[in-house]
Amino acid sequence: MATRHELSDFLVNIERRAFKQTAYAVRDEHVALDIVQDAMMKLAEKYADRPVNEFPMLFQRILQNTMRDFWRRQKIRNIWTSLLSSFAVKGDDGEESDPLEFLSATTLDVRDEPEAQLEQRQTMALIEIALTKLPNRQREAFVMRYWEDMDVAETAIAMGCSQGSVKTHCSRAVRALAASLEKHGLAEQLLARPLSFEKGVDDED
Amino acid sequence: MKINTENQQTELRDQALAKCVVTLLNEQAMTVDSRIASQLSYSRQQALANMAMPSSGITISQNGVLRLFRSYWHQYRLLLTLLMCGLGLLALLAMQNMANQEEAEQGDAYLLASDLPPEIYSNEGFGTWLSENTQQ
Repeated sequence: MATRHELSDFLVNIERRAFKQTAYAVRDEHVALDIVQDAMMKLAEKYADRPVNEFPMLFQRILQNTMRDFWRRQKIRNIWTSLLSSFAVKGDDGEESDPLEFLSATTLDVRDEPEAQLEQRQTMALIEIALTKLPNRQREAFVMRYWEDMDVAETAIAMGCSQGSVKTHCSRAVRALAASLEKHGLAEQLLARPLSFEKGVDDED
Repeated sequence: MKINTENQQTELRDQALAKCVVTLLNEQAMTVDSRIASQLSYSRQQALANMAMPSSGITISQNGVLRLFRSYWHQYRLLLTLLMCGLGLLALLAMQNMANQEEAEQGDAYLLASDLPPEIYSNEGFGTWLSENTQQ
């Protein structure tokens, strides 16, 4: 059983990454904060008695399920909104928000920044856009396998699918990201960049 | 053979690129603004407080709302299911009651409309006499 201190350490370690991962998926900072808070609460309330090494997989599973709940609610709300809005006169305010606008607003605020930082921010913005454009399952697989460094079996359990599906999703996600970066001529630049710290994937595939 | 090697090289390159992307994403995640960082910290404290929640049934939540039986009352799906089951059971009982009442009314009407007095139907001898006469 994990102690309070161990749970706290785990949450400190994961909270920012979880927030970013959720923000890429739901494209709204406030919603992302709510979802991460819900996931933390559920983990602490229901799974605090589990061993610490199970926390990453459990947390990811809770996070993905909470996101799915959000999308389900959003879908129902959208049905009602579209039904009701068909009676209203359409204006400029009724347009759907563009994910690129959200990202450019949050990541491209580069006033008074040096050129290198500007370049990095633009690279980051492109990566974020590529991530938000990935299908949900591919993004989940990429996040868990590469970002959270979970193995295929853990990812499969967290995603509720087979290990083969995880590998397929991962491979497609990585190819799509690489293609997007190559399109903007950033792939070579990134590969030439020295890694500040490596958090790679085990060579088990 | 050549195609396989090319595919492997592309895969390896993609893996290396993915690692670079993850490094950048990690750096980016560490630089969330202070408002978000403080909200995340608050959420963490809340979660840890929930972990240490007493096992007694009644607690007072953060907003000062009395929470009975921990958070079971907040499981609206369970409550909704129970409510629906209860309503279904009530409807079934009401329908059965109405059906029984109708049957009793029909029985009374038959007895009252009959030429024979109602008491005769409770007489055992009448039943025997009726069956013998019907056979003949």
